[in-house]
Amino acid sequence: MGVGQRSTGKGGKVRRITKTKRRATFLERHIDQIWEDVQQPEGVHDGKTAPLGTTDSVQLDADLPACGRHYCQPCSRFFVSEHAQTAHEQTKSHKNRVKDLMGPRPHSNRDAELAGNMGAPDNGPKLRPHVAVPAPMAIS
Amino acid sequence: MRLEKCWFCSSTVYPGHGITFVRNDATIFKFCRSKCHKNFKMKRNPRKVKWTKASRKLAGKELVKDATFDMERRRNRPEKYDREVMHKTVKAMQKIDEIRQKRADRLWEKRMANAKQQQTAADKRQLEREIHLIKAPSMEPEAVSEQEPMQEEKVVQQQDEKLAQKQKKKLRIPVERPRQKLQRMQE
Repeated sequence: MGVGQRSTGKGGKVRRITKTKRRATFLERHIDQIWEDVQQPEGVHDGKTAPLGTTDSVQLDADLPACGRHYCQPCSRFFVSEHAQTAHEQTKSHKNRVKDLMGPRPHSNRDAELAGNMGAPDNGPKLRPHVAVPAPMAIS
Repeated sequence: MRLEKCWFCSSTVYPGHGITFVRNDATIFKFCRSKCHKNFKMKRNPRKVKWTKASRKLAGKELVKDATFDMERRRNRPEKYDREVMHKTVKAMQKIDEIRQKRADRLWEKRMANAKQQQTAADKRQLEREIHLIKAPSMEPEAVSEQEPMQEEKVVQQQDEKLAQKQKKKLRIPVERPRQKLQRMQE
């Protein structure tokens, strides 16, 4: 029987939900996305950089806890009340997350390539160098 | 044809191998094998996993920022085919690989220069700390007062007995004795 599967037969009272839990943590916002969120100025988020609940255009979303009023950006979590959020901000996991986000940019594909003995990407010479300045030689 | 690098371990992903994951914000992640994909799904940080290239470079175990790395790049503007250039490139690849190998060897030698001293020092420290494991207490020059260890031993014995009793209690299985069983049968 594989990890996270439900045990069957005798003594199968304990239901293992490892796989479900892992899936849930994976579906949360990834660290590089959050890092980008944190870099943004406060209150300005489109749907790409932060959950829609925090955008300016869609202030309240009925599907979110407390209509998305209480959002912890570093942990990308919604809370039901102000009280719950302040309690969360005292926790170790939150503090650790904040500490991580103060550090360097999280690992990216570019980093992977550099670590794999590759140089910086080569985009070639510019196809259209500044057109606005006319070449004097051509005129004469 | 492109040879990609694995997002997690930075090894080369050849065509037809590995898995590609596209996140809902259109970011592409390539993985060389299921091991790397699983580690990604667990949201592990490649910089903190010791066997990845990223962490080895951070720890100073491999060459970082070397001029030989400029050969292999992600070329977003492909070169036009030219027989001459192709011929030269293949030659250059071999030469550059040689140079890189030499540099890597030199780095390894430099790292290993102090390794023996460090190992001996660590061994000495361990010997001092754990000498009691190989040396009998009677061999020690000054025996500590004898009564205290005796008391400790007694306490340990008592604890052991208690534990044994507990385990016995746990292990007891309710079984009908043969006489009781016979009586019940007769009734």
